[in-house]
Amino acid sequence: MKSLIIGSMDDNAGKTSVMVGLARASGMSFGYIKPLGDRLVYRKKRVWDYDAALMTNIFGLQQDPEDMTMGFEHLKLRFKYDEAGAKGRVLQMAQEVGRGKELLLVEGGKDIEYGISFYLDVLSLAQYLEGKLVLVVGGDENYIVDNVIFIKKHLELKGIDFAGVIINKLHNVADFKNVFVPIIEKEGVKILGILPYREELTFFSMEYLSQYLLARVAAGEEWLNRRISNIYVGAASVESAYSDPAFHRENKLVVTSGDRADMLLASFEDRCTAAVVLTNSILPAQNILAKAAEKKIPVLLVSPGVYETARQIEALTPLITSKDKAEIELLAGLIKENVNLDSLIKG
Amino acid sequence: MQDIKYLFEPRSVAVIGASAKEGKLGNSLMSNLVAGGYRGSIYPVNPAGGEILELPAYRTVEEIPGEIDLAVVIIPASAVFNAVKSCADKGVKFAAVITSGFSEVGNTGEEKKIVSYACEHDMRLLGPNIIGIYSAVSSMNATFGPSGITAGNVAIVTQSDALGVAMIGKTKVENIGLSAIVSMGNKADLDDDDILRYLAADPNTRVVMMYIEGVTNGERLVDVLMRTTKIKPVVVVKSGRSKRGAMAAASHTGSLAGEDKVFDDIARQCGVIRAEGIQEAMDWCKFLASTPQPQGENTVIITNGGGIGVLTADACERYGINLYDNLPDLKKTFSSVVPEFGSLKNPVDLTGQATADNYFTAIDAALQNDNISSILCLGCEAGVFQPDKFAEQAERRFAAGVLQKPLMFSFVGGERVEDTVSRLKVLGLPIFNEVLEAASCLGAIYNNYRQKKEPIEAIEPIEIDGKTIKGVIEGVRSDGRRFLLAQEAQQIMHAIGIAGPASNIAHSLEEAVNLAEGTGYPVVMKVVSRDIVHKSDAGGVALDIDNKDEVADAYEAILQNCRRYNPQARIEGIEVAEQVRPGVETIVGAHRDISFGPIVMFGLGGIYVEVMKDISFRAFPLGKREAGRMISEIKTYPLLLGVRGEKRKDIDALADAVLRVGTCLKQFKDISDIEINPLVAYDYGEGIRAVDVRILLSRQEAIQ
Repeated sequence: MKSLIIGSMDDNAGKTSVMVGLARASGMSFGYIKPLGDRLVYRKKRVWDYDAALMTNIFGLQQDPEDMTMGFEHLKLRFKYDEAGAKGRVLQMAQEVGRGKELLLVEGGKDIEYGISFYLDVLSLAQYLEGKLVLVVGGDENYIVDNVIFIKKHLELKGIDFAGVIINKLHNVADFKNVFVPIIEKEGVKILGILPYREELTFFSMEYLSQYLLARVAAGEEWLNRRISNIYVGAASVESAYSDPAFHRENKLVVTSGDRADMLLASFEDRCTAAVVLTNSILPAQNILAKAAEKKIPVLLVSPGVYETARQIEALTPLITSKDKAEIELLAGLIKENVNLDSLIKG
Repeated sequence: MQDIKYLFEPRSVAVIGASAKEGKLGNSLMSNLVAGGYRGSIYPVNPAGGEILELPAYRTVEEIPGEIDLAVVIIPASAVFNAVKSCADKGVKFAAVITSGFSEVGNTGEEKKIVSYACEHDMRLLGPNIIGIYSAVSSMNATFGPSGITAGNVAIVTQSDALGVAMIGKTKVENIGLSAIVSMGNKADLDDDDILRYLAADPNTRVVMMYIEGVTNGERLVDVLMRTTKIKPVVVVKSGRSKRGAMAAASHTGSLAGEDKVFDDIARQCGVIRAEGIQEAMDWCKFLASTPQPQGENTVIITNGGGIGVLTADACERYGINLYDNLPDLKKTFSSVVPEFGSLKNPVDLTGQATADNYFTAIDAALQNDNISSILCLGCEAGVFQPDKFAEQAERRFAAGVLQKPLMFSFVGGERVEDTVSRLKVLGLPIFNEVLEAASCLGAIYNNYRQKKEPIEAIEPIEIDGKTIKGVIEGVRSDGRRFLLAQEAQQIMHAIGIAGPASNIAHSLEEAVNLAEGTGYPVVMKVVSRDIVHKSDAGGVALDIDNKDEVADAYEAILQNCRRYNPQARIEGIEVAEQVRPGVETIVGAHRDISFGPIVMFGLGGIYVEVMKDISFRAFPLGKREAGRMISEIKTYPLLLGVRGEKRKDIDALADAVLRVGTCLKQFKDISDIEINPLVAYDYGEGIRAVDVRILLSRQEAIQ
């Protein structure tokens, strides 16, 4: 069984998306672990990592997501493990999860050094599991090239089978290939693939948003698969909204208080509105919610006010859900077209 | 402090802005004063001097000889301050400023300047922005509204000029006599409670009707209303119920309408009868002033039609009127007049063949039966019914003035019946076309009856540990915070005598595990952070923790969730608390309302409280009886009484908690909000537990 350890230089490089695409594109049977979690989900006293649950749901993996992660908080991991114990547990998880599989996919923490103080950083994982290490790098061109060369010049990769980097979410691939790829290759770092930026992968679904905000669904539960690409905060008058170009952007999410019947009706009537979030735990009159259902617009209800809710949505990292079939296929397609899978997985 | 009686019974009135020119407000007011028969001295003031309505006009206030009790100011806004100054310097007791153009249009500074000068010189101000004042006892019509006001027993206090003028006209049409009309306007100085104090003691006033848009000195008003309603009924029409209404009120008088539910509940607490609209209020006032008090709760409906009887029975339930159901007594009373095919049950059905004589035989029988406290007499127009004969007999009964119990009528029919109803109503008989109106009127009478019967509740003070509370507040203030941490809030609960779960704050995972083991499972864990108010929303609460591993998982989850919710949040620790056993979750709170000052709240609790909104409010202070009443008002009260075989919950303990929370807020001005949600209620005798407490300090420091 081959092991592939996927890490990233920083948070939001797109490591999980790359992993989903790789898993789908490989066509191989695989097991998955993420020893150090960073997207905690806590429900009914059970703890698991969002990414572990995502992989389980997309690929029908048999293990429980709870068994794919050792923990999230340093202090809890220290409470439970020392260095030998941590390593032992990683190996045990790999063995259990990888039994009978062709490939073991191991996802590292949110960035290159996360978990280093108790031996669960991605480089340590690569050493324990003796697998191939792939680092995902994302951002603007300058940032990418600096990070890649940093890896070569300053990371201690002795004893690690470093396969190379996958460059992700790149806006201008052609320019990058012309200007920066020769520089990187000159440093001796292998570029396994360059994945272009795709805007549709930055959208999030209302289903995801409802989980993220711990929201209640007030209407339109059947349409939670709606994807959001723009956000409009409905604070001003309806007249002001109509004259604001932001109000007419496609697939917009309107965030407004539940007592703004005028803004809600204007939003429901606008063909660009994909969904609504009601703030301050205020539900509008039933006839207004009925309008949302009539227009097939999902409506969520949250407690915080408009500002706080908008702030939380702003901070959200769009993650795919297991229901995002088109996006998953897109990721697999991007991997197939742009990454040398044979050399990475089968080589 | 001026005696308010000089506003209503001035011995002399100066009219500043009096005019000889017809069409001018100053002339209308003078005409009303003179034509109304005012018996005191009238001093018109006009810079031109001369004569106005055959009275010598003075150029200035200073020229007026002798004392002036009341000055009515009806000049442009820019000149009002100087006029008020002159009056104050001269020692005038009261000034009624009719002029508008002050705080209602944003000119608050000028208004404050006027009031300030007046008060410094011991002069009280009514208005500004009013129609004036009418007082029957001194035959004083110092308004620019209609003349020829009929003296009577109903006093009107209104915050709307136009409505005030309209109401004067309407009372004439409805034949309602007035003891006083006071237009309050901007309430810059004299407020509703000042006026009510006079009217409560005024022997000529039997009923007070108030039109209110906004309440300013709510604490004082509540106190006066509670005393007044024990003496005579107060009927209130308050606008601003809806959002649009509230906006309109704000632009009309600059009044903050406040939350209507709060007003409604507090009105009920004070014993005020709240009418939906002006017509309803007037009907109630008219008949409250003229109808004898019932001596019991037993109402009998006498009808000639089953359908209208049923409608009325529905209406009686809606308006809180109890129907007399003693069948043997009803048989004994009415069997001589009810045919075999009629009904002796209540409603008593005389059938469609009832004549006027039959009706009054039944009515007389009811009047003579001491067990029957009030009568609602209904009818549908029928062939044998003689409206004229009916009217004659009805007039005779009322003219004799011997009725000892309320007797109301409602008749439905064609032209003859309508004419009869209109004619009798103008004569002052309590008769209506619509049964709902008759029932609502009788309901108002019963409201008043019950209010007067119930003595004012003595309020026993509650002892709380003020020293501990003060210490906690000082600690929070010195930390630069307004929001109390969980531990601090629980200390306050302990200091006021409300039990909470055992809890401690852990600053590390090891400590959390030790605390949980020490407390005993199951435990609850909650984030402690000044920056996270709604813990559940942040994922900062973990319940049903049963062992060490779950403590570790929960600790981790709470930290992760809260950091994601607010990365800048300062997390002081994780509270590990005893998990209280399930009970009925309620919410108890206290808050400083912008209109009424300290108010308390009780309702169905839990995380859906803001959605369900099943809550009741009261002004604080209140006693145990009223606290119990506010608890019984919530829709889900049956849950506390016990449903599906469950036992009754400790409602006494809940009422006690309401009083303790209110006491704390009242005594400590530093505290602006207290909310216990949930306050879990157990079976009767087993008490309550305050599970989650939020306390917020006021913005302004007022350490005691």
